[in-house]
Amino acid sequence: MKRLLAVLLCCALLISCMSVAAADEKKTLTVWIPQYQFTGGIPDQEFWDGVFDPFEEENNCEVKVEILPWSDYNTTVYTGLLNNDGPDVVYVTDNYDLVTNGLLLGLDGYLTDAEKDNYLLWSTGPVDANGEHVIVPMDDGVAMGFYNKDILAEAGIDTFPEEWDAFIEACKTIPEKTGKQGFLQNWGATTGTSALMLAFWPYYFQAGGVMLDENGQIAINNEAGLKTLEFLKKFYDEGIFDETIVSESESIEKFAAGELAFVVADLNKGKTFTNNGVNWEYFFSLKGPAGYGARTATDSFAVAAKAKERGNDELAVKALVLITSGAVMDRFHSEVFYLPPFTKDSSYTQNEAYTTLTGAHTADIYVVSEFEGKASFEKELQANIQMMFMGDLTPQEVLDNTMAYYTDQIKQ
Amino acid sequence: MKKKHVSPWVAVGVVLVTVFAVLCLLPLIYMVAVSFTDSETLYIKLKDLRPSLYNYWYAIVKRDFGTALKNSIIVVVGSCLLVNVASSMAAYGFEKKPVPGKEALFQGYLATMMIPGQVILIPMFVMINRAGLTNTYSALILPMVGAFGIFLMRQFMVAVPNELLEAAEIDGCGEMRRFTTIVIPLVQPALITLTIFTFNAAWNNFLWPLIINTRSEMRVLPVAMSTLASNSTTNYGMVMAGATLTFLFPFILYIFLQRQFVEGIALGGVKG
Amino acid sequence: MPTAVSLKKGKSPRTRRQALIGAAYIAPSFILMMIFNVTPIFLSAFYSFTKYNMTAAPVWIGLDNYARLFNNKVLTESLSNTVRYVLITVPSQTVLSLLIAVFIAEHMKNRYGSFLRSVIFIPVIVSLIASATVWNIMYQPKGGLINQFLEFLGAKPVNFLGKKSSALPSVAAVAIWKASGYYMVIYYAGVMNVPSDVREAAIVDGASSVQRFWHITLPILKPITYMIVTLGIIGSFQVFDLVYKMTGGGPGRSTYTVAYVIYAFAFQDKNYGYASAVAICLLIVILMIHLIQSLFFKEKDA
Repeated sequence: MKRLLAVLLCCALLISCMSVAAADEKKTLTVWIPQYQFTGGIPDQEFWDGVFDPFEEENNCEVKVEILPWSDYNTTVYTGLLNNDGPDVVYVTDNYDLVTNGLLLGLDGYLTDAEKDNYLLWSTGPVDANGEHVIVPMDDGVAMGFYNKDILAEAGIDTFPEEWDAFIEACKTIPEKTGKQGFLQNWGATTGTSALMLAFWPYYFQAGGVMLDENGQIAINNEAGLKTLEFLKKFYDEGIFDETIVSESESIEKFAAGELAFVVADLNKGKTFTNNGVNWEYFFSLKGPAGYGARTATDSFAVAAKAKERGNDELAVKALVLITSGAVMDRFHSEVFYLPPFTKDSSYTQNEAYTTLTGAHTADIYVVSEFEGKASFEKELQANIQMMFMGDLTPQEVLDNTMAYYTDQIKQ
Repeated sequence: MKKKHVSPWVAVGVVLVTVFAVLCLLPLIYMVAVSFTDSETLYIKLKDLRPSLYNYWYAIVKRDFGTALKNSIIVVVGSCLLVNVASSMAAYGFEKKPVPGKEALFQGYLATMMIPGQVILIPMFVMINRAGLTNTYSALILPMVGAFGIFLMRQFMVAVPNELLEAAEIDGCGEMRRFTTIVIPLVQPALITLTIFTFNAAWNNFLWPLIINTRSEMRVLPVAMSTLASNSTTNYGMVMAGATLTFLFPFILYIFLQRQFVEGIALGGVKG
Repeated sequence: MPTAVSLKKGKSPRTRRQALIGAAYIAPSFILMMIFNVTPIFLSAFYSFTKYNMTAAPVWIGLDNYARLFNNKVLTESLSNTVRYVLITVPSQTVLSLLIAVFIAEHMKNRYGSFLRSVIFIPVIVSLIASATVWNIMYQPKGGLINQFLEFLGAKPVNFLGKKSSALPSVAAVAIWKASGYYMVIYYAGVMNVPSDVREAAIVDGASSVQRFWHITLPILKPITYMIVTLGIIGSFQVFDLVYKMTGGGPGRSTYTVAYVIYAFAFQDKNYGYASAVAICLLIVILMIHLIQSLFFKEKDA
């Protein structure tokens, strides 16, 4: 007992010493960015610390970059921005709730016209109650389809089967002829909603769906929504999807191992597939009843409204400009994660095939809209689609339940 | 020597209990084994095992597990000190002092033990945020004081003989000295029990620190563990190294203080 | 006059002084309890009548939140999942720990027995998040330890956490793994407290070990069982960490639990008022369970 007490007291002493030593008058800036390095390259933390080293020197401040996990990212950001001690500069995914609740700083007064002009998507960003722009929108790019040319040749399929029905037929033929799997796509059970972003919306657009109704409210309970879900259910009913669709990265691993004919993934995966010796090719999207359709979103960088209370606003905007500058983003896109450029002064376009393909399909790229409670809506939709795959719900019930839940529970 | 007759049923029972014990340990053995591999697949072959601490080095240096470990230790030590001091003082007051209305208050305390953590989570978040206590150790330590500790200590205070206290008073022993030199030594076993319970609660606390301490330099181990796991879903070796690190500290304590651990829990259970 | 008053109340100045000192002893924990345990309950009750998203002040909406609870399918599903979870974990961990404790106490009072007790206790000290992570990897459909074993036996791999039928029991298994050692230790101490003359008398009477178990050990352990079941129910009703880390409520909504739903309503949907209403209902349910249970046990005592 005495020993235990002695240890406890020593520790207490140590702690008090440490907290005294930690006192410091330099300004501290906190930056939140989600993880983007998924392969063996330079870790996010090292990349951003390197970016801010000269900045810290120049402005006599300390920049704390925190790399956050993607799971529950939206929740973390919301609570973080409420927090008096939260981030100053933040990477934002779903911005609607943040903007309407006034959690982001209006940027118009801080940025010069030249700076604003440099951002390609500046004018598309949302404005706050004072009519000021609050985010610097990025271009998230389009998730691409990949197909394995060797498997298609082995199954005797000459051209990529882009029509919905043809695609399903191909997925049934491939296992018969080659013993390999046709198509898998992640409908993640445990990874939150980002999987759904890649999975559901493109088919919905291909079916002619529009996300918001004339009042700006989310509406998917329509013919396009039904067609989409019936199409997806067919994958499950025909045995094309198997149970592994709820486990993360399974489909990508299988494609990389040459055991899967089609997969949808972010375009950075191309490198992995090539390294694994897969003879692959991009496809832009399938062709549904209403034509092609792929989705893109505008994630963004923003400054916390609370940064002003902390007297950090000027500095935070400076850091924001640095992060989004062409020079930094070019490096980020080449060293960490490839995305299309979103400023006029950036030049890095690594991926020609991607640029050509998206260039030919500009009219078929749809932006996923922002709306109230989007993250919760998508979580609910995903849960209901999973229940459809498990045989608990019909496509119509998925739509009804999701919309009913949204109106009753999520909308304020 | 008398020859003991062992019935076959007992033999079966011994085997079953042994199997259960092995099952209890297996996940932890697996955890340690995987933490020494650097393969991204889970099929562990003996040749993949290597005595390399790379995964540990990576978790501690690159993923800031060192900071999380420091934070967890600070929170645990702070909580244990605070809970022990506050609970034993309160228990002494309740048991040995004629405070009016104390029984009613004590019953009220007991009632709070029924309250699920989720009920008070939201207002606590609001309050701590208003008070500007987010991202501090206090936000994690102060709420650890609860009815359980006071209840447990009071159970043991009963056994402190009043005559002893009265005699000491007559001998001119002051109030504070009576408490620290007579009462505290007599309830030592209870303090150890309470320390173990508080340790367990503070070390494993997850949801509250997840919400209230958002800065990475204020993360405690379970939260760091959780981010590690979702950041690198395929690098199982590193995730398991993180889990092993989280487990290591209480495990070492358990090895050294095994008797106190088990007796403490039993005591808390039987008395509680 | 003051003396007269205190005489009337039967209190000497000394008693009053003692009372003051006592109050001083109680004060520090009293303040902390008031701030962190009592005030939040009332605040929670208050929020449950409001619309509140933490950015603007709460807006009073009366019983609206409670009215909305009744047609919330998600909530009903999560309640039934939670009850299922309690029904899986509580009986198994109680029976398992009881049997092991009694068996070790009766037949393995040697070093091997005490070694096994130490081993069985180890999962208790593993944090829930670490447990969830390790078991998540063990449950992996491809290459996880359990499926490697199944493959070795020639069986087909099972997607434990990805299937509706197996997700909740798989999570419950982790809870049982973690809790059994804890309750075993408490039971063991209880068995050791059984007066040895009672046991010896029974042995002399020629009672078999099964008879001794039913007629002597079990009745003596009843208060402990009562406590373990109560703790188990309360603990299982609040399961959060395991679900959060292992399944995130999925697949579908098959592992949504009440605690998880409160978290989701509050921190994901930013509906703090509504989440508070659910939390208050959870409190009422737990109090009711406690009440029913204590009545049930009292009746059997009589």
